[in-house]
Amino acid sequence: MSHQTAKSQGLVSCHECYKVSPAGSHLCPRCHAHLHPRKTASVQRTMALLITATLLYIPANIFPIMITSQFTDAEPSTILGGIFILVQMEAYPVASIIFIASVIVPLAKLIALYFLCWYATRGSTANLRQKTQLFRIAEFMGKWSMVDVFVVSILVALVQLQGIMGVEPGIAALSFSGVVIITMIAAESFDTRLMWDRLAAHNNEVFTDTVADNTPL
Amino acid sequence: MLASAAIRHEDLIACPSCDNLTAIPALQHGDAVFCRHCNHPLTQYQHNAYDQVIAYAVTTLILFVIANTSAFLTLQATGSENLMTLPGAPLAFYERGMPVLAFIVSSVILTLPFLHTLLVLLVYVPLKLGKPTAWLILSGRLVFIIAAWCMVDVFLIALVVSLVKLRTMATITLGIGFWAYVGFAISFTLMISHIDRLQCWRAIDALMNPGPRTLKPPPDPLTHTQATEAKGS
Repeated sequence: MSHQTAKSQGLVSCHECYKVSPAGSHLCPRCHAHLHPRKTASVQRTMALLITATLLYIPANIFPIMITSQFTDAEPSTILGGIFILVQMEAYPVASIIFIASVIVPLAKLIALYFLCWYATRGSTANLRQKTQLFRIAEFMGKWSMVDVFVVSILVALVQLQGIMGVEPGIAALSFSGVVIITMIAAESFDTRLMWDRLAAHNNEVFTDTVADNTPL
Repeated sequence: MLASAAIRHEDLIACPSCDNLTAIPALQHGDAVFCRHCNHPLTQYQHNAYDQVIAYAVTTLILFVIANTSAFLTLQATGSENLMTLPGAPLAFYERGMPVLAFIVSSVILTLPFLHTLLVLLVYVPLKLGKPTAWLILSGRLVFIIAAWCMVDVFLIALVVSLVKLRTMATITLGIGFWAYVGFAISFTLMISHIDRLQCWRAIDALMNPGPRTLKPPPDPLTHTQATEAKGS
């Protein structure tokens, strides 16, 4: 099946209102957004943000996300420690929500975006439909990682009884929300159309059969 | 040129995921369009969307005000108690020297959802009344940019998690503000689910540029094809 892209037809699509305009237009005639055939420096920007997020992920897991105090005991807990406490309380559904949102989702999103950056520049052009689907899931799931940060904000505001019990936020809350926000921006800078462009370029090469095949498959 | 000569230039949209061109003509209520190549959901048309979106937006704003001004949660343990309001959640970070975190949390759970709802009204009320307004295009763009950063539903789950965490330590009383927030989150989510980017922008376009298309009778398909081809070349 031929893949008729806007690019191959000399058109550029507006990312904000979906209107297609002739290639070379700078402003969308419908919504006045700046038009780009592809997102600017997509892979470079996404990679830079991913590396930043990966570095922030380390303090987010080492340092306590909150410090719970009861009478005179102060007990700091990390993200994983908090999940362990929930398991001890036998609150399994909630423990699994936090485990999925704070551990699996950010890690899976980081790994998925690294892989997609690889496939947007080199690597196989097979199963693009699944890879595009993977990106959409990663993009959709990203914001759910904020659950743990919100829980800390609720507990800090609510659990304040002078001298009896209190909750203080830890520095990991800041690093972790940094991880979430930065991976969201990374997903926004990534352009899945780059993967499809590589497939189109590859198909053209095979079809015309004139260029020496110098792209390893 | 394009595969089918009858395709009109203004009906075309390019898939945001794979750039594949799809012609989307006028749709019927409930019609959903997916990209043939990558399965990206492109649009879903709802004929009564304006009324529903406006109704949900007004409900959302009313519940937002109640949620922010009434008692949210009260914690009681060993004779003392502490009342928390909804803005108190991000404020708690600010008071403990984490202004950046306070800014992030207050933006994604309060400021941006509130702004989004206001902008939705600024777009959908003129669309409903059929009155072109100066701010329509700018608010139309902002609506879709802000939507990605609203985390109302995530905060709702965080509330449930917090209540479970505290159930053995203390007694929690749910205030009117809490229930208003639950309603706000549901109404906000329903409002978002009725907003379709393509339908919204086509309506804005039709309102801002009535043009000769709506005044003249529909052109003969043959002449129209020639016009499209002339434009494309």
